[in-house]
Amino acid sequence: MSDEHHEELSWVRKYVFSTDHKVIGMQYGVTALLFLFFGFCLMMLMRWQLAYPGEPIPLIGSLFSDATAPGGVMLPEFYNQLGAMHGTIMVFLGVVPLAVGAFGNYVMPLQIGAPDMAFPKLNMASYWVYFIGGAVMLASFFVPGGAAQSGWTSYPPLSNLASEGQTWWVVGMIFLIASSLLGSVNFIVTILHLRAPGMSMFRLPIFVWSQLVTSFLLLLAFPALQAAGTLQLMDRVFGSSFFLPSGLVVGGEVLAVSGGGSPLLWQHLFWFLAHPEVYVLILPALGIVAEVIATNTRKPPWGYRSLVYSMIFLGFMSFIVWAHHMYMTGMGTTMSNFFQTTTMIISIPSVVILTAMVISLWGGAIRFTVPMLFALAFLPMFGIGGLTGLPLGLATPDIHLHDTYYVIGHFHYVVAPGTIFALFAGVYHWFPKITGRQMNQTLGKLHFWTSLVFINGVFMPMFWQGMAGVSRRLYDQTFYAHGAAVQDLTIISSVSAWLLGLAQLFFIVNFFRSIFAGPKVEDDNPWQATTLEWATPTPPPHGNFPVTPTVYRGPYEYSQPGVEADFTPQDVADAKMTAGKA
Amino acid sequence: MSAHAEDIQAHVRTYVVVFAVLAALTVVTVAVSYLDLSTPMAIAVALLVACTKGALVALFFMHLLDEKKIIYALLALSVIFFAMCLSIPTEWHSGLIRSDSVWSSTGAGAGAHGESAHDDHGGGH
Amino acid sequence: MEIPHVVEVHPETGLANAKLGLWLFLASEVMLFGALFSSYILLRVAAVEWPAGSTILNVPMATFNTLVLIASSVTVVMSWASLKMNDFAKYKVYMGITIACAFIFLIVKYFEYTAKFDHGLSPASSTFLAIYFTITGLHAIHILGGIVVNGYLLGPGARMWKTDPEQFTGRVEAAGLYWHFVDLVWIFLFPVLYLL
Repeated sequence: MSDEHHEELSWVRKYVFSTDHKVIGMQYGVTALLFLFFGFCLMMLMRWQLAYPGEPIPLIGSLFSDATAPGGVMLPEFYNQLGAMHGTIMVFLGVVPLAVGAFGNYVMPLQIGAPDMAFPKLNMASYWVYFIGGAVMLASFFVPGGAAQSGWTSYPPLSNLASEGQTWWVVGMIFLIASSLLGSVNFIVTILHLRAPGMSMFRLPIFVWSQLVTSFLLLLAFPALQAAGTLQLMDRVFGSSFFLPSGLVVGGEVLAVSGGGSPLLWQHLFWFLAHPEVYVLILPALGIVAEVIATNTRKPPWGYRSLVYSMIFLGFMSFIVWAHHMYMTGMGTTMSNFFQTTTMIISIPSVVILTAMVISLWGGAIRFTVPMLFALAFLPMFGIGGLTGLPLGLATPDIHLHDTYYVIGHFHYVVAPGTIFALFAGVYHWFPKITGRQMNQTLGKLHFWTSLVFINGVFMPMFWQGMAGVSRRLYDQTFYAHGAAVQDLTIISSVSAWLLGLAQLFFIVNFFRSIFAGPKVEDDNPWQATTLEWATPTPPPHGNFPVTPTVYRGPYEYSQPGVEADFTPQDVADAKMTAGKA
Repeated sequence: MSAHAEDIQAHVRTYVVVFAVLAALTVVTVAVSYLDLSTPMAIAVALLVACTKGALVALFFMHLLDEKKIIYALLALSVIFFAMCLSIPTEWHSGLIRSDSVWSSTGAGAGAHGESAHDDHGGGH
Repeated sequence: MEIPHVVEVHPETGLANAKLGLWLFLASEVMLFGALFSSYILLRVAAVEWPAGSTILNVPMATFNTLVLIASSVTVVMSWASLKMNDFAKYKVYMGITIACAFIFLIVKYFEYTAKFDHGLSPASSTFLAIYFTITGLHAIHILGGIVVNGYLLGPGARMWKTDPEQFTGRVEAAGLYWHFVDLVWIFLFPVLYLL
């Protein structure tokens, strides 16, 4: 940025209420990582109850109040709170803010050669509305009756009758949805309007495309949950009966409400949002993996256009598959046929994307860096997650598998060793650009291999548990004979989960150590990548580019014939001139 | 800006005409509601008038008569998803038809259809 | 640091940032009210009996409100046209009328609501009243939002006319689009809730 415009901002304006997309991206990143860690801790507590039901929690058991875990033994109500809040926090406060809020905010404007987002103040508002939503969610643990206990899906009538924490949950969700609305408007305008000269739509890196499709999903799907949340708030605060049918009996007595509502209405509105939400979780991850694979195979990813079209098609189709979450609600066969068909169709672009990425590896000079290891692991893990979803998309097997641990295993394979591995890849990949320092490769490799082993230890047994018929929300599965029979698998899962938690220490130590003491990167482009974020100074200053870059070529010109260097950055006019730049 | 002043003058005359039509249509739709039409007929007329009014506002006040391509594309997209969202009741209704044949004898409050059908289904097999 | 296309339109889309952003926001709003209309239809189809709106709600008041809102839609577009014709004084008059109309709408709405409460009618009374209060309440919040935005453009925000008239006109246009949308929603709410 030119000096004549330089004005000293106060510390608060620079780091707290900043309008710089990079600072906001880091704010999102740090907050989201903390929420991920917190959500992970909730899960580790749950795993104790599941593995050793009725036994006091070791070490920290005495810290809990009598309302949650008297004598260190977790109450069923507290277990339900942990379950509901683990899901909510991981999805809405952890993964999406990290994938979109953090990486999208930080990297996307750099990759398109923009000085900032189109609406910097809106961007700041988006973060702070998210922050308030997160604070409301956390505060709900301390209200009478504790946090929400009706699952992350908050199905009525249960959620209508639940304690006060549910109201806080709804209010928190309304904030989070408002935040993502502000963010998505900003992202779309930025991508359409702020591209540098020469950066046509089909020269955009795949990560930018993934953010564009994701933003449309956030923009058009989230309002359905906003509407549903408003209705639930009316039910809970003003006594209406949107989700309460006539003659509902609770505790042996007919509930004194006007009735006439429909619990299924919530499910429809919720899943109208929540299925596109699944693609909000996975698309940015695919974008990150594409970037990392292209950089580390030193060749263009196979089928750039098919990747782009597949993402657009995925986004579109994700709006018409929602009722495959609802086969058990007694819908007609015509409708279930329709939704089974659309569900099978939506698997096609997913397979196209995955296949294109696998083919991209063929013949590449692969560098096994830490981000590449995570990206490589993403492919089979996401594959397992996707393939195990097919039986759930068909009504007949779903009757057996619905709401069992099989479902838990399936979607965790998509988001945990899938999306979260991709997010780790992103952290290791862009860390040098953000901080100007490299992360330690040895600690990174330790982090990767331990995580890979233990995360499979956590989720693989769940498929067998699910097929044995164990329901996903049980407080103590040994109560039932079919649950007791597979209790050993639960213990394997739990122990793996705790070891997975320990494995993250490699990451935490590496992360903080590298911020302060990591080896400084000598070049602005340490990975010898082609996209524009590496053409900025390190770390990028306010305004990003000293001179607005001009784009001359596609995003992934690696190992071009006749060019000496094995990469040609997008802003280089004459490819032959780059020789020896690295 | 002033170069388009005459264009704008023409616009202003259109706005006044459109306002008069909108006001007249409002009176019409209220008047029709006092006639004793059958429910489907009443819904059809009211929605027809509302759609006409909505179209006038969108086309003239929001200038959709002459707008950029990308806005049409965006609106087409949201209309498609809007239609999908409106298909939710249809989808529910389809479930209703099937469950009616299973348990029509109970004839409980319609609001509880979804739930009861579900319970009955579980018990019946 | 300058953000591109704040004023001058983008060569590919033919739009400035604010206008594109506003249309995206409206697309999202279409889905929000769409989901609520969808809920209305589902609840109504499921209901054993559904009251005709006119037997419970005050149709003359709502008719008056409809006319008020339509009038404000005309005045807001006139205020934009006045700026296009370089007539700032007229802009202020039209924008002032728009805001006044918004207040009249809310005052009438207030009397409608309190009349219902006085008769012991609330969202808890029936699903019909529940959806009535929810959708009109959400619409009223949108009116309030419009008052804030238009009030800003009439008050402190109007200073921009002197420094950057083109960007100011763009802002008035965007605020106007939002206001038309609020009017548009009411055009559908009125027959659906009051007349059918």
